[in-house]
Amino acid sequence: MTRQETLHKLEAVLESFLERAATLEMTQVAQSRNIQMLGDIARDSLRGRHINNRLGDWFAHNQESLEQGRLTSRHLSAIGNFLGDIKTGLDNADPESARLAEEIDHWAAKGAKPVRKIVLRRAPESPEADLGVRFDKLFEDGKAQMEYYREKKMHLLTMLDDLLKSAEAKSDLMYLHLAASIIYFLKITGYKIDPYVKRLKTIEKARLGTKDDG
Amino acid sequence: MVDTDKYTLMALDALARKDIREASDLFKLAEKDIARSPELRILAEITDLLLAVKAELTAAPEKAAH
Repeated sequence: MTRQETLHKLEAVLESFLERAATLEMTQVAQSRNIQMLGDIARDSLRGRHINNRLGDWFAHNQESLEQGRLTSRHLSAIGNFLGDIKTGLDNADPESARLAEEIDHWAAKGAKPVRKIVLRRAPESPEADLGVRFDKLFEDGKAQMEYYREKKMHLLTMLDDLLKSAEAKSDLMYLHLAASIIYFLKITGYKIDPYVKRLKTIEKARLGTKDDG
Repeated sequence: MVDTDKYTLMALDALARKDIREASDLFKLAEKDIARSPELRILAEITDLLLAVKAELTAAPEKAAH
């Protein structure tokens, strides 16, 4: 194969890869946006607003993704949590609401279950119990995040890098907590962790206002 | 949605249409998304690599033939 043939081959392979990867990425972005839309519906539902039409449209728009198994377990968990919130606000005496509740049950049967519901609804018995619930939630969220990384087949150090970037950019404490947990794991298994500890402390300092005491 | 998100979607759309130059330019405007997403960073880098291959083929076809 001449150099020109090699370059043409490389050009074709890269074009084909980028076209497919871009299409896949756009599908994932669209799914994330659909889930955000459901989150908006859930929030309006909790505020007592009428959401039946919007929820019906959302189901119609996303039914195919559910039936064809195109939703990841992370998407299903998020959808399950929002649908769980919405279901608590539905008036089952109203036929339309009852039909939507049945649809929510159908989604739950297909895997869209409210995974954090039990933990979130448990009434704290004491300040310590409340602290325990908060830790449980961080742990559960972290578990879902690790599941997401595993689906992406990411290396542990790549996960850590991504978590530290997310901890810097987002308000959710889960990223910081999970990054710290991985750093400690690396420490006790003999890895060099100084650069990661430095990044973690910088983020902690910026976000939590803690002093870097070394 | 912030502007960078819009640029990311436009870049992906350009890639799906095989408009590589436009995709490369748009990825540069979506630097915040690129910084926090390893997948997008790889796509942006491969886009630039493809541009370089195209430039090599266009600028010096006679050189590439050897």
